[in-house]
Order: sequence, then structure tokens, then C-alpha cells
Amino acid sequence: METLQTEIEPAASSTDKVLFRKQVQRELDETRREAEAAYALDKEIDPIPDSAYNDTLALLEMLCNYKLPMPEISWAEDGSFSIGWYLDEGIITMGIYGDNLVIYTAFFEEKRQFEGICALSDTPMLSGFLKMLTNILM
Amino acid sequence: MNVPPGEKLTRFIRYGSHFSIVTNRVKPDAFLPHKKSVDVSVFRISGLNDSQELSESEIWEIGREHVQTEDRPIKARADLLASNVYDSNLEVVPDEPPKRHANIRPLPADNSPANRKTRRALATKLASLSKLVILPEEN
Repeated sequence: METLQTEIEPAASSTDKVLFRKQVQRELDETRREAEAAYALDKEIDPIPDSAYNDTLALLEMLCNYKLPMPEISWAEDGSFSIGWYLDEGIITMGIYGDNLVIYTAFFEEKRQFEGICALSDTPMLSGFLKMLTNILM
Repeated sequence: MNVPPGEKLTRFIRYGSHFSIVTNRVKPDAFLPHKKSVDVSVFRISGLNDSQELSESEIWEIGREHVQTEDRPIKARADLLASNVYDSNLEVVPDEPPKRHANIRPLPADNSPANRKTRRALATKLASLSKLVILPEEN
């Protein structure tokens, strides 16, 4: 985490971080409630494990250190949370399943798309992706 | 015989988390079925066999009849062209009954991180190429 904070300049201010943290926590909790309600009605849906919730929180905590726009948080029937940015020209998401992996995907146009996988604990690789994200979104 | 590339398809959306009102976008989550499924269920909404184009109310009626449940009403839909699916190296295969139902397939099985990455990439592409249509209030 310290590495991430020092590698990216400028870091978000402490006030920004508090607001960011509160908002994403609230959104994650709301999303989790919707996913649990859906699972209660349809057992074909894959339940989202607690580890996915914890991994998403950890990733959001990292994002607090970047001056990024507020992401949208969502869930899918495959048991995942997503952190995403939805732009006029494309979509960027990070998928979290609770296995310590982050699957990132971006689609802009036919010739501008990329995807990858990195461990949540792989700070240098994740930092590289977040740097690129900052360049795209800011 | 596969669905012709010029046909319009729709995926009905039942969860608020699967689309964004703020950005008017479909999220990839709408195209990510449960792990065991390699199919994404859609309906064909073009005129079939020289029949007239479906009206908006007729399209929503399909969703109410075949997708909606008492506990999970449909909230929106993702409209896309079959050609968008073929461009993603997937197929659109009729799967009736019910009438007009088809499956986008085959997503890779979700049995490895690499396949999961591919599923998400396909879902992101399909979502990105889809048009969000929100259920009008009078419906």
C-alpha cells in the first residue's frame, strides 16, 4: 500500500479519500444486499463469497490513493463484484471473485481493448494498471 | 441455423446493478451468467419471416411473459445486433420455445482464471456495443 501511495502523484487529498471511502463502502454494501436478495430467490446464481467482499474493499482502499473518478460497483450472477467506469467511448472494469485475483478489462473500440489478471497482492503490477487507469480517466 | 447477423436482439435486465442510469450504459454484469452456464439468453426482436417489426410494447411484453417473475420484475433491456455477437466470435442460436428465444454462445466455461478473463472480456464488449433501454414508467 505504501508503494502505491508514493508511486502515484498527485495523491488524492485526505478529505477526498474520506469522501471516496465512505461513498464506495456505501455502494458496495448496497450492491451486496441486492446480490444476496437475488441469490435468495434463485439458487442457480453463484453466491458472492465473503472473500470477494473483503478483496473488493481492499482494492477500493487502494483506489483511494488515486485521483480517480468515483467508480460504479456492481455484481454478476457468476458470484463477482465489479468496480467500473462507464465512459462515452468505452468501459473499464475490474472483476473480483474472492480468490485474491483482479481481472481487469477495458473495451473502447474494436482496436482498443485490453484485459489481464493480476494478484491483489501484486502491488507493482496493480500499480501499473492503476497508473494507466489514471491516465485514461483523468 | 443461426440467427442472421442483421437481426436485433435484446437481453432483459432484472437488476438495478446491471445498468447505469447516470451514464445510460449497460454493464458487463448483465452478460455474465452463472458460472456453469455457457449461454446468454436473449430474444430476437426483429420482424421474423416477413412479419412486421415488433413495437416497443410488444418487446416489453415478451420480457414480462418469459423473463419477469413476481419477485424480479424486468427493469431495462440491452439491445444489440446479432452482428455484434458474431464479431466477437460467438454465435446466436435459436432456442425455442419460447418463441423468439435464442442463446448467445458459447462462453468459455468458468473453470480457470484465464477463461474467466475471456468471459469478462466478451461480456464487456457485448455491453459496450449494446444500447440501454429503460422500462418506461407506464409499463
